[in-house]
Amino acid sequence: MLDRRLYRTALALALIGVAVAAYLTYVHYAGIEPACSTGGCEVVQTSEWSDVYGVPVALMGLFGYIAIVASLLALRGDAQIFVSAALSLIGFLYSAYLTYQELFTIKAICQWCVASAVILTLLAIVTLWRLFASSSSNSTEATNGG
Amino acid sequence: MSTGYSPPQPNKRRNVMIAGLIAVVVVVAAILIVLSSGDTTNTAATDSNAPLKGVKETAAMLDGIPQKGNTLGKKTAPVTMIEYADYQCPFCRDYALSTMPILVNEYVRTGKVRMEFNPLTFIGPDSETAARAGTAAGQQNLEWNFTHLFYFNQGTERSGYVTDAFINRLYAGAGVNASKANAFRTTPAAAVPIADATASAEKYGIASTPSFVVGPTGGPYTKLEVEISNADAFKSAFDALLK
Repeated sequence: MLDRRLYRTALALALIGVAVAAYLTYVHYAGIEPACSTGGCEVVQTSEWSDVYGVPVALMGLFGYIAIVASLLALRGDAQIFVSAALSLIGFLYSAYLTYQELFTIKAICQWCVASAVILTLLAIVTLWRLFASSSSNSTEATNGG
Repeated sequence: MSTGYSPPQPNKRRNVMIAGLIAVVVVVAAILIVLSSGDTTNTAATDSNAPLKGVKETAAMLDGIPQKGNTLGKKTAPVTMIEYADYQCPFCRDYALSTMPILVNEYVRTGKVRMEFNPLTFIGPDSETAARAGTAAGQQNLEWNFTHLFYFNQGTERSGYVTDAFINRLYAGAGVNASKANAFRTTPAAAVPIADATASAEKYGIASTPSFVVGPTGGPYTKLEVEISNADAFKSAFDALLK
């Protein structure tokens, strides 16, 4: 039961992440200003950390979230638990680095980036919880993906 | 967290898998971070001994084209494109170094298009220092040389790299009389183009840089919605106005 709840929470978080990243990707390619109450979205979105060798970070995030959703929907068993945890952790570490740059180098806050960082933090917690819970419970329930 | 769970059972294979997962995660995240930080196109800005980049390229692009203040090109050019840019903005640099030389060569040098540079300063204090320095270069009709050279040597945003020494190196590379320009750039008059650019950007609903408005010289101008890396999109807009 707990695993099913964690699975659903992870899926919901990843879907919200897809929506946030899709919006930021759209904003990037449309060349428009994101809706922003923190005032720093434009600065962050046009900073040198907003792309990696020409690939917008928003697009990388979108693919990352889609990969998490896909791992949760398409994989089963340990593969699902391990891959979703690995992807979430990579996303969490990278978003932590970007948040650090936002706060201490760019010195501007982009609410959408913060939202994504929070989603990835929660995703990392939930998927790691699943990983360690399934390790300790040996339950087959953990493998059915809800 | 442990509610409802039996205490962890030793499970060697699984522990090895978890260790492997952590290793993969750390390696991939580290690669991403290194790629991100390595994307800083330029560290030369903060190194006063590093050679100035783009001096030859800037001269090749601009030599022989008339300049007056913040405008580039013949005043009789039938079309004018106004650029709104922040000196610190990496996308403005990308446009300046990749797309702009094509447009200058084909449309400005040939007298079809005139370009105007309007500095915005939303990124931070370095943007204003740079914009004032650019305006001062414009007093000597070398603003475009200064600006292009600036983009070639652009540093990390908000790192405070736009120092007097940095500006003086650019002035030297752009052929600007530094003592005259330095005397002007701290005066209130050097901030006027920034205020004008901000007001005019607001008029056109410009919220990001670089942005462009284009139209027959003298106006009316309309906002150009193009991908900055797509020179053909700029050319199509010019061609439509030149018909």
